[in-house]
Order: sequence, then structure tokens, then C-alpha cells
Amino acid sequence: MPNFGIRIINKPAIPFIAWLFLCSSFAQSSQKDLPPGIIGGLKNLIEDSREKIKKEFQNLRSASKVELNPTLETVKAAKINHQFMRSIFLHSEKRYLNLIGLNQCHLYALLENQLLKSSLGVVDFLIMTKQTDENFLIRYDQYLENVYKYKCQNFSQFSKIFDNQNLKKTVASLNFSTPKTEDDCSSILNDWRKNDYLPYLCKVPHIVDKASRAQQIKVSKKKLTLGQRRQINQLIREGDFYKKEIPFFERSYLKNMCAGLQMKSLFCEPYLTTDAWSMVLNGEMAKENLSIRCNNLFNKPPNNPLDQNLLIKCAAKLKASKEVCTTKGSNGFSSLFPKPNCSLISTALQNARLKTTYQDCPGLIDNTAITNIHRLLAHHLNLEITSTQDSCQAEANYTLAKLNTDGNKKQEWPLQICYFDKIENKEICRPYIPGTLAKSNIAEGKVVTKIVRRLTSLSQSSNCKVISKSQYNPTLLEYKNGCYVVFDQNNCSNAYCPKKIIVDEKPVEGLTYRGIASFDYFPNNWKDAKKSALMLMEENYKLNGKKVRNLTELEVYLRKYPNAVLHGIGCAEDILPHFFKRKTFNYCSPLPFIIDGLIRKDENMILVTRTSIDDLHSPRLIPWNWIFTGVMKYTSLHPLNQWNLHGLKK
Amino acid sequence: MALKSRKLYLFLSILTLAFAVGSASTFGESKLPVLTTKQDIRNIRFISQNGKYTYYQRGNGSLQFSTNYSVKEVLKFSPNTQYTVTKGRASKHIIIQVNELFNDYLSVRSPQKIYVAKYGSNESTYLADGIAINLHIDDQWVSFYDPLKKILVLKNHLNPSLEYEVRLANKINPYFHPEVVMLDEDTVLYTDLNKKGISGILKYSVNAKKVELLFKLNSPLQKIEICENEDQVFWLQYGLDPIQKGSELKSISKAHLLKTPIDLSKTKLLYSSAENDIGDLICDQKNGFVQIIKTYRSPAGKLTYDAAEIELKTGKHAKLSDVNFATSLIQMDKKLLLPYQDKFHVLYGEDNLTKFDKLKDRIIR
Repeated sequence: MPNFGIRIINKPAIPFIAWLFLCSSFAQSSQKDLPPGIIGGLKNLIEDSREKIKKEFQNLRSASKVELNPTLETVKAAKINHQFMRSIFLHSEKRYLNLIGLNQCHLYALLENQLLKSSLGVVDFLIMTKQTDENFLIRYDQYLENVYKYKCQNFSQFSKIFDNQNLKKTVASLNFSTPKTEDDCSSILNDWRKNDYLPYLCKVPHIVDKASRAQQIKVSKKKLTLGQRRQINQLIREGDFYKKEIPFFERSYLKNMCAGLQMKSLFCEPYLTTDAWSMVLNGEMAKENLSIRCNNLFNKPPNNPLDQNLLIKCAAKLKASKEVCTTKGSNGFSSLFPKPNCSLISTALQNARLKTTYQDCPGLIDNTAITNIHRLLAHHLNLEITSTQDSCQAEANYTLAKLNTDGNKKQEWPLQICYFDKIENKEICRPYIPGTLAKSNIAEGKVVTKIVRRLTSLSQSSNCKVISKSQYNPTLLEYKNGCYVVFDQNNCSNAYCPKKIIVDEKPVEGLTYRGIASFDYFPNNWKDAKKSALMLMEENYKLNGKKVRNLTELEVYLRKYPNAVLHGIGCAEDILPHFFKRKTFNYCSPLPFIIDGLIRKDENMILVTRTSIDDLHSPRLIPWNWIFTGVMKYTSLHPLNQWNLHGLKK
Repeated sequence: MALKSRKLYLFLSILTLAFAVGSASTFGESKLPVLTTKQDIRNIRFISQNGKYTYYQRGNGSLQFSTNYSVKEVLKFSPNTQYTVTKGRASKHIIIQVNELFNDYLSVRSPQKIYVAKYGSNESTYLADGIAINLHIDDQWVSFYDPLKKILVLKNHLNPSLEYEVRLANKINPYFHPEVVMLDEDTVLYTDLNKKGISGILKYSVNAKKVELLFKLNSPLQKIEICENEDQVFWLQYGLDPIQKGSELKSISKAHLLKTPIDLSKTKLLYSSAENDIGDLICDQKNGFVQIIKTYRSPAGKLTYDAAEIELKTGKHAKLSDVNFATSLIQMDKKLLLPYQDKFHVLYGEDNLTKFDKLKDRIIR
């Protein structure tokens, strides 16, 4: 009779399982007549075995044959019950059983990490058989504690380095290399198969998966017993712990790798697929590259935490229908139309580096330099930016206002709301930034509130809300009272946005909007060079700029500084020639842009370009030669004839 | 000291430009002739075919008009104001766009001041604010677009009481502006986008105040350009994305367009390509031909972009340039120019305008 307590298993599991069925006769089993056919035979055997295990387990429990304080001798003298072992082989996943074929110690490591199952479920207790053929129960961890004392000793060390205190450090020390070719993938997978850490590592996706299922049960099933609820919460807590300790890329890698133990393609395909969406799902790229677009497709706000299953569905959609990205994915956040297709965006994103954790709305901002500066500072300063349709315009203006007021060279903010103050008997003007923004004291709503309180009897508890014409509906009760700044969403930008101020359904007159957000992006004259946005960014936020004059410099710069990006101004007619047409001599529409990647195609260099009128999440692939001509044409019209393509790094 | 540092900065700027030009040479030099002028070419806003009339701007904010014998100021605004000068097809009037905030309010759609002047004169009149400005019908009518109010305006600058407005349907592309052809005082063709972003050509009947859809593309990933010569209207449609590939040039006679109802079966397909051309359609440079920026694909799949001329009778096309990355094509008083990097290559017309003081008008090449 095979002794599983010490037997060396060096064959693949499946022939071994077959062998278990074909040749074994068990001390406590009786052979029944089998129905014809091997399937029928196996079915009966499994059912028979399940019943016997269940009965034996219950008998042992009721007879209190549970070894509560097992000694080394007790464990050494006993072996895992043969029928129980067979049950483990029948009910555990093949991918894990295959590991036992490579190293018998993996059996213990798999038990330790609770990756094996018997007909009773996850193995918490083992049925053991003494030399006297008497059975008893033992907890799996107590059993392993003793086993590791006399064999597979190094695995007891592994237990320590993978415990909750050391897990993060251990995982961080491992090399999770991603395959580049099919052969590469086989080789990486084979290396992992030989790795003794494998059972410990596969516990991670196993627990995260269980936690996610527990979460679903918790949400969907309202009638749960106290015990079930406690168990579910415990599982969710464990899952959260792993999510917290192990970064998304490593978690995703482990999930793919452990799945790949059974079917190679489950590991290889995600890494050999070359689209950005799969890379996001694998954790190889930042999640926002997919989630913001998908949220928009699902009509959800940009920062809504999307469920992984929905992300997978969305990624599949973007891959299958390239045209989706051209017209959808940023609705409500106005920008140049149409956008590139999903395949082009995917290629661009794979070579991009700009941090884009938010959604902006270039179409609502006339001075395109504001959008560019907002994006540059968000990248280098990791700004926290809200991404709602109401706040996106104000966020960009707020970044510019901060650039002007931070640091030593404070500039006067040009946008003002003016009114005649009867008490002071003079006109008073207050700075404001257009739109709604909770974090700013000069957000339009707050400034209008202060002024309206001076002009009317608006109560201290009422605040003016900036809302669109379509939102304002005086037939609804909520709009009968209070203060509203109403604008036409189809006829509004930074430069032109007629507004009506309404308090308790009556228009308020006497407020005048003044000023235009004009400023020098790059120095336009010698005298005010230090007031230009470029100089302020460098000085206020300690960013380092460098002129980049040709393609070689550009390539070297991007290679040398992994977080650096380039920004510049060129003529829209050269950068986006399909969209903008030059009709007259020396005509140019200056267009700021950011370059955050480079791709070599044929003999040409293609730049990952985000123009300041494009959707932030839809970079375009533009030939270097077009960018070069665009910058050069603008340079020739610039008052200082300055070359306006710069690198910018922290 | 300030002067010294300014000189140093100027020297560095020139050096920068020299570097940039140097790197341009790595793309391979074009064999096309380059426009040379007596003036600094960067200041020129319009120069006549024979070099007799030049409109040029100065750093102090003025727009100057020079003939062989005199220089006069046309307009003056704040320093570094950017001007654009367009001559009408009838060579009777010019329109001047004024952008005072060219360098410090970087907008591709903000309205600019529009002035009208007689061609060859320095007297100008303010007309309105707008973009996408064109002269029509013997240079008497001006069309322009107000991108903020999304209104196309048609105005007779000789009789300003004649003014009409058409509200565009486009709500999807904040950077769209229409192309306009005026067939007569009552009939205007213009481009617009519908709510799905699909381009179309519409006919506006001024007196009836009626808008009629003439033609609509199939996909929002296509663009349309229109232009006219004496008796034909042309349109070029092309894809904006590789998943909507292909370009087509079509024409229809103005006589057909003025009939009611319009018989679009009279439309002729003049040229088609499997690639997405850049366009910049020029229709009245040379009889029997139109010019565009065409996309070429090598057998190995490499894309290049150059000016091409399409023969209307045969649909055959010939390459006019050799720069590989052309972006635009402009017409200036019968001169056809290809702006590329820091140069203006001359495709039609005299390239050397430095010697025109001594020469009489020459025959167009």
C-alpha cells in the first residue's frame, strides 16, 4: 500500500490518479459491481468515496478522535489516510496536483497554503491512519509543523518569508519577467514550475479570487447567517490585505502564471498580446489608460472604480471595435473630433509616459496654452484633480491661477467679476476662475455668492451654483429659491460665455465679467521673459527645461529622463494638416502640444503627441517632420524668433 | 549691458534657428525652387505675382503696403500683432485678419478682427470679428464664421445692410469651421457636421432662408473640402483615420447647382485614391487641373505626402513636389506655394522676387 506520508511522487499526477483507481484496494472499502463503461465506474467510485470520507470524518469527530496536541512521533508514525488522499487527488485542481509530480514537498506546501481540496472541501483537517490501521484527525497546520521538522525543512523557511509580515518584501524581491515571444514564455513558465515558492505565490490570486467571490455573495445575498457573514468578511479582509501588500502588476502576473500552470496560453497570451488594454489588465500599464475611457462608455464618472470584469469586457470591446474610440469614450469632455481609432491610441499609449489620472475638457478652454500647462503640471506635480463635467474647466484655470500666484513673482489674475458697491460708492472687481471648484476660494460660484450677498438679500446659508441652461429648470421646486449662475453649455467657452444670474427666480443685474486669460507661454519679449509660463513653471516648481532642437536631441532626452516630457508650440496647419488648412501666406494657428513618446516606423520617427485641443486620453501619432515644420513655422513668426520645443523634467 | 545681453540672445536665437535648419537637411533637400524676396519673408503677408504690391507687417504692430515707389501704413495695432492678407479671386479687394493676441492667447478658433480694403490700396474698413474668411462674387461678399456663436455670416461689404446668418448644426467638434462657396447672391454652399459628426454640403437659399442638404458623407471619420473655379464646384472627400481609408474628388457644374431641384446624378467622379489624402484643394490655379496634398504609399507600405496635380479630364495625377512630408498648399496671386519647414517652395509662378524692381511683369511659368 503506498504510504503518502513519505512516498516520493515523481510522476505527473494524472497517470497517477488513474493508477490510484485501477490498482488500489482499500482497507475500508468494498468493491461494488460497476455499471458498464469507465465513466459510470468513475462516477460511482467518486460518490462512494465521498460518502465514505464524510462518514469517516463525522465518526472521528463524534468519537473525539482529534489529535489536539500532536507530537513529532505521532505524526511520524502515521500516514495520511489512503482514501482521504485519493479524495484530495480527485477534488483538487490539476494545475496544483501537477506540482506534486515535480517535487513531493509541494504536497505539504499546497496543504499549507490551502490550495488542495478533498470531497469535504478545503483541507482544514487531515484523516490520518496509524500503524494499527486506526484513524484520527489532525489540523493541517499542526501536521505540517511536525512534518517540516523531519523533511522538506527549507519549506518551513518559506512559510516564514511568505507570512503576513514578510510577504510584501519577498514579493518585491522576485523577478516577474514578462515574455516577449512564445519560446520565451515557455521558458519563463518552466522556470516558475521549478520554483519552490510557487505554492506560496499561487495562494495570492487564490485568496484574492475567493475574496472577490465573497464580496459578490455579500452584495447579492441578503439573508446570511451570522457565521456565514463572519466567514465572508474574513475572506474579504484577507483579499484586501493581499491587494494592499502586493501591487496590481504582480498580482495580475501571479494570477496569469498560476492559471498558466494548467494551460500555457493563459499565462502567455496576455503578455504576448500587444495592445495597451491587455497591458492595463495585466498591470503593465496604469489603470486610468483604460478605466477613464471605459467609465465614459458605461456612462459613469471618470473616476468611478470599475469592476475588473467590466474592464475586461470593455478591453475586449476596444480591441474588437477599433472605431469605438474615434467618436466615443470622452463624451461630455469636449475636444477635437474625431479622435484616433482604438488601435492607434493603444500603440501610442504603449509608448507614452504622461500621467493622466484625470479627465479634462480642452474644448471649453479657448486659450489652449492653459490646457497644456495644466497637463504638464499634473504630470510633474502629481496634482489631485477632480474630473467632473462641472469642474474640468475650473481645474485647468485653477492650475494656471496657482502658477501665477505661487512663488515670488505673483501675477495679477486677469479674470474678474466687477460690480458697483453702493456702500463703498465705487466699482469693485474680484478675481475669479470660471466654473465650479470646491477647493478654490476664487471659483466663480463662490465669488458670485459674495457679490450677490452685497447686492441682494441673499441669505448667508445660500450659495450661488454655476449650472447649465439645460440643468436649470424653474418648474422644479429646487430651483424656485436660491442663487444660480446659468450658462448655455452649447455656447460657452473661456472667451465667450454669456451668463444669467438668477436669485429666487429673479434676474440679478450689475455684475460684469471682465478680462481674458492671456499670457506668455514661452517668453515673447525680453522685458517680461520671467513672467512667462515656462519660466514660472521652472522657477515655482523647480522643473528643469531644455531646448530640444532636433530629432537626435529629442531621442536622447526621452531615453535619458524616463519621466520627462517635451512641450512646444507649432502651427496647427502642420501638426494636424487633415484638420486645419493654411489658406494664406505665413498663416499659422499656434497650437501647444506635449510629446511623451517616440516610435520608429519604417525609417521615420513618429511622436506620441497630445495637442492641447485633443482628448487627453487619445494621443495622436504624428510624424516628427510635421511637428518640426509646425514648430519651425511658428518660430519664424515668433517675435523673438525663438525655437519653441522644450524638454521638461522634475 | 541690456543691449549686450540682447545681442547675445539674438545671436543664440539665430544659432538655434541655424541648428534647426541644419537638422532639416537630414530629411534630404528638395530640388524645388524656393521663394526669395527683398523683404524678410517672415514679415510678408501678401506679395503679388509680379512683386509689385507687397503687404508686410512690422514688429511695432503695423501692416504696411509697399509698391515700387512708396510705402504706406494700412493698419496699426499693438506690437507683435499678427496679420493675414487674402486677395479675392476677382483681384478687386483684399481681406485682412488682425490677431492682436497671436502669441499670448493661443486659440485656434477665437474670432479675429476683419478688415476689407481695395486691392492695391492702403485704405481699409472694419467689417466684423470672425474666422474662416473668404471673398465671393466679384469680391463683393465676405463670408466668415463666428465659432463662439456657431454662426456663418454672409455680408456684402459694399452694402453692409445685406447681411445673412446661418446657424450651424455642429455641436460635436468645437474646432470645426465651415467651407463656403457662393454661387450667386441667393445661393450659398457650405459644409457642416450633423449631430453624429458626419460632414455634409448644404445649400442655403438666401431669399427663401432655406437650408437644403445636398450631399452627406457616410462616416464621421471623413472630411470634405469644397472649392470653385469659373463654372464648376469641386469637392474632395477623404478619411481622417486608417479605418476609413480612401479619397475621392468630384465636381458638378454651377449651372446644375443653380437648378431646382438639383440633379446630383450630374456629379462627376474625377479622381479616387485608396489612401487618405491631406487635401488643401486648389481649383483655380490652372485650367483643367486641380492640386492637392496627396498621400503616397510605397510598395513597402511607407507613407509620404506631397503636392499632386490631378488632370480633370483623365483623373491622372502627377507629383509636383519632393519633400515627402508636405502639410499644406497655398495660392497667392496665381503663385502656388508649398510651405515646408522654413521655406516656401514655388510650384507655379516666379520664385525670385528680388529682381522685380527692374523687370516688367513676366509670363507665368
